[in-house]
Amino acid sequence: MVNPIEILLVEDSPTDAKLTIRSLEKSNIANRITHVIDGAIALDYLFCEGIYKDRDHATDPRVVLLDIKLPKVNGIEVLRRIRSDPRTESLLVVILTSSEEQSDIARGYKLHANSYIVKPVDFHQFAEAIKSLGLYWLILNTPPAGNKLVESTVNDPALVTA
Amino acid sequence: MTAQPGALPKTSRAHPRPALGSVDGIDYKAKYVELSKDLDELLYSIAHDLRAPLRALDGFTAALIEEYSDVLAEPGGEYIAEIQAASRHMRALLEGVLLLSRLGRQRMQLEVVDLSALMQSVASDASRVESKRDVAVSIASGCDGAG
Repeated sequence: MVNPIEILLVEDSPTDAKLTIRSLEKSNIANRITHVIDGAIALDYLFCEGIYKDRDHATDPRVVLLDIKLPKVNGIEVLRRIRSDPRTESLLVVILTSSEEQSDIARGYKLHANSYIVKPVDFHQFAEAIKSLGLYWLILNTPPAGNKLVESTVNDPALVTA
Repeated sequence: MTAQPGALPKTSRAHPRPALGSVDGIDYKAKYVELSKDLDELLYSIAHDLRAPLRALDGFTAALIEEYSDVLAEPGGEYIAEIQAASRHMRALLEGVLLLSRLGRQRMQLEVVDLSALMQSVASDASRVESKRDVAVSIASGCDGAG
């Protein structure tokens, strides 16, 4: 029985979301990417509420890719909520944002984001960053819940969905 | 050419500097500084917002090449290469604007500059370059300023 690798992408720009999802798919690592467009829906997803009330915590994302500038609830607030609830506090959160403001970087780390990545403007660098990110957080890094799956889900075309 | 220190009065101590930038009670200097800062922030905001669409230009033209180059006859490939070159050029310009605005938004770090020593060094450089000219230079000692 193989667990699909879940990624939650919280990104309000449809173009950036398309580019990120395409890069993730090309790197053949993540196979179930959920994309939400604002912080409120992200919280509903993470806490299994609202339209996601039937989601099970067993399908919690392996990594949350979190933009900062989001409508309704901003990324920093989403992160704060993630870290202050025992159900979600250990989730791997990678801030993926255009903001390289020192204040945002500081706050992200202060709220214990696992990583802070500034989206490069150069698309080639961006694609490489997404690929490296995927390789690191989903393959190399041991997740909080331990390694239940390793090679079995990598490069398995039957599992590719998005 | 020779430099003779000590010949002129010490202006920075003998005459207090008049208040700069204020005329008829309106602090133009402060207004200028504020406007300058606003301009830098505006530049930063614009340049920052343009990054995402530029990334899209760059990214989707790369995607076109990666996925459809076999069905795209020339000069289609050249057209795409032109688009990519133009968007990269635009990005380089924007990065320049961003850098400039960042410099402008930083506080100026004022420090004491030894003007006498500065003038001595200018005078000695000039005398090396124009060694045939016979010029007398007088530099007051102990002058300094903030810069």
